[in-house]
Amino acid sequence: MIETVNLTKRFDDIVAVDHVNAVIRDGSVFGLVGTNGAGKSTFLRLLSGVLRPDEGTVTIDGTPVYESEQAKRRFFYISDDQHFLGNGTPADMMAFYRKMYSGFDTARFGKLLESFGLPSSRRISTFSKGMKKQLSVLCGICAGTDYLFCDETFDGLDPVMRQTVKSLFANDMEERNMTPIIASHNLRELEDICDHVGLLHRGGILLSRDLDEMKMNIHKVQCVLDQEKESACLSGLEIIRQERRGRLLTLTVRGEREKVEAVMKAADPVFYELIPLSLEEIFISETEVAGYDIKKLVF
Amino acid sequence: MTSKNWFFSGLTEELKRRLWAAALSAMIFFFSFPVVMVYLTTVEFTDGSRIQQFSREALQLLSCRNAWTIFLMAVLAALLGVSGFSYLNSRQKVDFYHSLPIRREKLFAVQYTAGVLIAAVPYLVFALVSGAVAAAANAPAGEIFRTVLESWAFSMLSFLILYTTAVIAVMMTGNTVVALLGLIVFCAYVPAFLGLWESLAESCLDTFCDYELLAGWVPKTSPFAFYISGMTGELAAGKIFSRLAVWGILLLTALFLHKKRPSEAAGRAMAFPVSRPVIRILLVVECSVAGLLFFWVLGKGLGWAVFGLLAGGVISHCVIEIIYHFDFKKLFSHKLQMVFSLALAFGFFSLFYWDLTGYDRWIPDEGKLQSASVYPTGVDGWVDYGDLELTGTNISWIWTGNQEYISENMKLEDKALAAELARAWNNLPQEDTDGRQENVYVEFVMGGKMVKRRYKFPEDALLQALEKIYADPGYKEGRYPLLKMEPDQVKEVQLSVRGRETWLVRREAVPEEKLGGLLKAYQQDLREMTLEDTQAAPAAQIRFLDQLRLEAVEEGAASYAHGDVEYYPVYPSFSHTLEALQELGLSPKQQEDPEQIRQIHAEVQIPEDSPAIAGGKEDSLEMESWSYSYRQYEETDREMIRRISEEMIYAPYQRYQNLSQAENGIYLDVDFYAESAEEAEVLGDGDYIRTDQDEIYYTVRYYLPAGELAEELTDRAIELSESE
Repeated sequence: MIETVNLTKRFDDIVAVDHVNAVIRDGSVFGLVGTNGAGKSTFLRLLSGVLRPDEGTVTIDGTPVYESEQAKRRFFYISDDQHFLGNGTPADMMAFYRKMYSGFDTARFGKLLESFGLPSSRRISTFSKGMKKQLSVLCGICAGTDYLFCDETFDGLDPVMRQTVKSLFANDMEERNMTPIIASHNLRELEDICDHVGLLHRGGILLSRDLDEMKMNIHKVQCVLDQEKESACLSGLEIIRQERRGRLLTLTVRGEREKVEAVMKAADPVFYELIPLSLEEIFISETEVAGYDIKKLVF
Repeated sequence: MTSKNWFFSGLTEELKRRLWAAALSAMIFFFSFPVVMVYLTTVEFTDGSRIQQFSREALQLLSCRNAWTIFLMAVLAALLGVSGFSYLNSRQKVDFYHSLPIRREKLFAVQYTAGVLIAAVPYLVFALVSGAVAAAANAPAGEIFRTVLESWAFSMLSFLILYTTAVIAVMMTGNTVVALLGLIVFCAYVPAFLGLWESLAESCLDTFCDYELLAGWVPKTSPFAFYISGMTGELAAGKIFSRLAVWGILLLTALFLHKKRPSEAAGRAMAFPVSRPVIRILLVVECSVAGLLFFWVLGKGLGWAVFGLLAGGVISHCVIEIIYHFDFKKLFSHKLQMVFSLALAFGFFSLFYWDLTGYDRWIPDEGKLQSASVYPTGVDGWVDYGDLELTGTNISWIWTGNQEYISENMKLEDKALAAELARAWNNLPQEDTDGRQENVYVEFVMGGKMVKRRYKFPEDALLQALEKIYADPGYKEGRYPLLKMEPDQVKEVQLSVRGRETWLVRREAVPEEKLGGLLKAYQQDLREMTLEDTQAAPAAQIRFLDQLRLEAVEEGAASYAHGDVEYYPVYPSFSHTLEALQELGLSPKQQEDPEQIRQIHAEVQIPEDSPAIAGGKEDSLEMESWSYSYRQYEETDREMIRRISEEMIYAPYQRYQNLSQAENGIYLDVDFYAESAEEAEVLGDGDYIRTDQDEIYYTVRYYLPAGELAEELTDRAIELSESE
């Protein structure tokens, strides 16, 4: 488990990460979203021990990360602009990482290189941006670490490759309980992979929730109600957003699905339907409750 | 790193990463050693034994004192130091290396060692190969390989100092170009500051002369100067240990900075925010003072000095701000610090300009004086300091600086005289500082520390000030090396009377055992000599030779045999010497026989204009210049020749006349009759004339001091030129 307590990092007079408290459980996918400059990369660089916190701590199972070889052996950090050895080839990178990470799976690395169509003896400097991203992900996955820190890793991958990488992540999570921590400015990119999402804004975590928990507890209801019974019906719901078009009422409500359905049935509606919310809609609703306009924060 | 041999695994990876540097280093050393050595084996040496010549050249090539090796190692140190740790200046690389499971100390050890090996291994390998080539070409193998190993070890030790300084420069900055600038600052800041200090002290303080103290600080405060200073002199243990200690301190500093250096410093100008104002203020102060001095010298006024201070300070502040922010628009950031720096620079200037520390007014506490020495440059300038050095069969004269000798040998018996001198200078009326002045260097030793001062005295005041000092036995013992000579050391004496030289033993058949008595007589005269005595023209000059000096003269050792090194004057007041010479059958004639003079050529100098004053402003140097015309004039009148011969002084003896006013007299070329061509050749310094009437004569230069006769001669010359 990775835990940050009051984690703070300042660059001169800019507070890039501001007293962040977070817990990242093993075996889940932690998505970190936020606009450019929200502090995602700084947060990941703090997690990976590149930066020394000004305040607070980052620990992996209780071991502080900064300058700890023991803690650092448990993760692989893929930065938004990964460095490769000068004039190095994928084979050189493999040889290098094999010395750094005891669990580096060279056989799998070779196979994956082949299946991704990346030549092992070609100089990486001649690779395209997407190929470099693929190679960094392959290095990260084959390193065999417990955690994989990905900073905007999906940016630059085509949709097919994005899905392939996601399936690789899913496979490793399944097989060896790997925990990917993925930072992205694009919510839609994380929707189908994350278990837990943290929203960073101006260095602080605005929101941190399990996706399932959020999806279970927030619903969109479209309904047409008898006008006389409407107010009585709505008073039984925890409405966080309401929109009306003619007689069609669209409600975003918090609460368990069964309870919401029971309230709606009791109101004897002309029509009602529970529609699943996208991650984006969930965030819009949650952050509006917190007093923020999510469209300004993420999109 | 998972391997137990993390160091060697890391080193291998690091060397792979820096293959270009290793290749460059190998190529340079290959061309610097084996190629040159092979070339040397093909050179035809013209003088001496071929093997000896080749061996000398080979040893010189392999020596750590080889200028090219010194330069090469300095460049490599800077290049490898900066390039090896330049990854710290790239965020991409910092993210990569610092997220790896390896501690920063280990990263430092690997990268530092790789840089050292890139220089050390090719140097050693190619120097050994060169040594083998030299040995194969019959150079002494033992000496060659000892030189290779000694030079390699000492060069590497010196290299480590510069290399670690370059690493520190990288640690303190976040950009490679700024790191190189930082390295220049580390190497040049203090020497430049000391240079400014010295310039200001020289310009503003009348008594400042302690150049050695400031120069002595340069190797102690500049890694580059320290590096260079090691290459001179013997490889003594002290030199090696001091370098090891400095390297150790620098290495610990670099390691500490590497550990503390924030990763986010990559790409910034300065890695540690706390160092920014300190370095900026230090640089701005230095640039302000440099600007001040430049414009002060150029413009010769306080207004220009203030302009220079502002220009140097503001420009340097702006440039540093631009570098710090990498943004031109930020050039006027931290204005308050700029004002503070300018004020600091002006304060520094004020210390000198208004002598706020009372440097010139300082008079030593007589009670605390341990010893004192006095060196008046305008007095006894003829004394030669040095010694003969025997190298193999070659004898050469090695000079010692006047001040150096006096500093080491002179201790006034009455130390209070030195303090009195300082007091006398302080009490000089202001108007006395104009006109011709003579320097008197004084060294006061107090509490084991030496304090140096230079006092400028007008000539008349100098006579008064030096009178007592001249009578002090400590002054004489420290001023005249001849006083240290023992009578039994004397093997020969050379006596020269206005160019006519003789050897007492070899030519005058004086028994060698009597020479000691002559030396004693001379030493007694020298001790009793007053300053007034030394203003007279000497009757002769004399040189006492011990065995080595005699060999030097007999073997024609350059400058000693043919020059006038270590000759001492025989003033008319030297009664003991003149008596002793008389007893030995020698009595130097005080004057020339006018009958032997054929004619006299005078070169008369006539002032044409009134003095022209240049400058004349306050805070500037006042220059006085005269223009002269010269008249050549020949005197054949026998009466006039007789009168001149009574007053004229043999020109080479002028140097023995203390406080001589040579510029107010007249130089004369006097033609003397000779009895034979041989005599004329010797006395005429190889040059003589034989006339149609078969007269043989030679010319000797004399000097007629200022006075009535000189004025008369000048008038005659003017009259003659006007009649023409």
